[in-house]
Amino acid sequence: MAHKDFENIVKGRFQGFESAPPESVWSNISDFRDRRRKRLLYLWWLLPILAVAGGGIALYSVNASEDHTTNSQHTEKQVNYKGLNKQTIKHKKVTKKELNPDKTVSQHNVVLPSTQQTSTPLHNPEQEAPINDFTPNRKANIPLSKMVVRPIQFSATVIDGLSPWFDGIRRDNISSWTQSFGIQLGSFFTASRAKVYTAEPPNSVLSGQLNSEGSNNATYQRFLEIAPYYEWKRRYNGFGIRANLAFAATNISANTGNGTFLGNQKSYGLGIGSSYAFVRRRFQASAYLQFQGEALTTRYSIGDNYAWFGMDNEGGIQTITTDPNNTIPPSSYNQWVVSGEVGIRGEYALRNPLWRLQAGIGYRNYFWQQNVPIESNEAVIVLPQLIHFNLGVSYRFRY
Amino acid sequence: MRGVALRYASCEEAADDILQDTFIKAFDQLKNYQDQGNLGGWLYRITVNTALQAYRKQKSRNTHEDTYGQESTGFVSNESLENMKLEDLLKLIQELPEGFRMVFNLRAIEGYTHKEIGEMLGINEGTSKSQYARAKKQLQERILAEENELKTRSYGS
Repeated sequence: MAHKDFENIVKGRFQGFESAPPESVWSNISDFRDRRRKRLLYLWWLLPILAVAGGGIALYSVNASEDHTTNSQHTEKQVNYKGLNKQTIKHKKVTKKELNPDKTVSQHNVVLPSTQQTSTPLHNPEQEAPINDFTPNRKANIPLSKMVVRPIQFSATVIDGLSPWFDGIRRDNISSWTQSFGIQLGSFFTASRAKVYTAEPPNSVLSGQLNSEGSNNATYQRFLEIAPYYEWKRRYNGFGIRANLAFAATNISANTGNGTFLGNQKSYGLGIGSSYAFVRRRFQASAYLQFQGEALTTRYSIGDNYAWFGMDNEGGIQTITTDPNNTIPPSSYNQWVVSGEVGIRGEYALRNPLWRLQAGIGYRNYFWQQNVPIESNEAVIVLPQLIHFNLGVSYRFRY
Repeated sequence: MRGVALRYASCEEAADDILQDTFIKAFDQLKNYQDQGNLGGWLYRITVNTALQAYRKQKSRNTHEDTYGQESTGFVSNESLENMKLEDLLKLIQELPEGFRMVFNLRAIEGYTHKEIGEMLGINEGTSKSQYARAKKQLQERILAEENELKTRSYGS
């Protein structure tokens, strides 16, 4: 047999050769891709947690001791508010030094803002090495007319990796980013105990002389946060960036050794965060990392009346007194804070894919709080860590 | 694509593994596939490259192993080769040693030169030529053996 005949005959025999793979091949491919997506999701969970944990470790590793030099004293104060006399308040302050002269108390709340970077996707198919083709000229010579494989029917989630509800129809002139805006409502559950501090004014509660009530507890109930947001999301790989405003309302109580301050807190904030989404038809799950700066206004009042503590003659029993004539304005202080939040968010596309519902849960940590000087003996609350539950709706205006 | 994988693999299970890896790579690279010509041709190239990668990973180059015993002086006629069942021919190719099978597929069916084959498999051109010659010789001997066995059976029945 001639050399060329043998080759040509063998080559010709295999032209058009078909063989259908078993069903297990397709299920194995689907399982592999699902497992890989889940692995990436676990890693997305881990990175923000490690970042916040690292920031928390850095936060709590910065401790400074402070000296207690205040002595017990009785003071009387009279403060004039626009010509009106404030009721004098008698109080006794007992420092820890008197109770435990040899014991020092570390100062709290001197924090350093931790450096946190926006997470980036770990898996970027676009950066993978291209297929190595040794002979670029060979591709035109491969006979294909009879090599027909069984047509593969892809589901909507497999074709080009797109979901029609979240990524739309692929067109050459379409932008690689989608944009949407929405609003999110959130409520919070306190995950750690809020602390309260007082100090002899006009010192700063965070760097001045720390009162013995410094370690007492407070309650912090952030019951509502409203956050309109604007989001950019990259098509085909799930990476997104979100910028949001935030307004929050909180009920607080500051329990000091001399009494309890009741009040509320309002805050206005601006946040920015990133997320990575995994899409399955109409449902999308995202892991997010977000930072938010807020301007807090804390006011101690019961209703519109300033509320302060009072002592009876026997001592130790606190009463809460308000000005019945409503002539004394409620005391308040302002403070800037920065928080970081990690969480997961689920989105569901409605029949109109431009509208989506979302729900999420996150963990928020206020890792920097402004050193606030106070003008009277009100308490300053150190914000706790919070578990954030939220619901929202969004509209995508570019499809 | 499975037909291609079957030619390069030693068995159906190995061919299915190559096929699975091919589709996973195709899904990952689909975003980069833009106007690269026939989609089938693109998938074909991925299949061949995946098979070669599997071979390089395995590195079981028993290319000097000769499992066919004595040399035969017979030759294979065109009719024998054309009339032979394709599944039998495929099985004989799969039974070739790993390195021989790779070289045979790339030379006889894909049409690469020995120099190109050497670059793809990490061998020199002379080795590619000798392996191809031995692969073809072994294949012919097996085809002859199959043909003789068939004749013996038909005579004996």
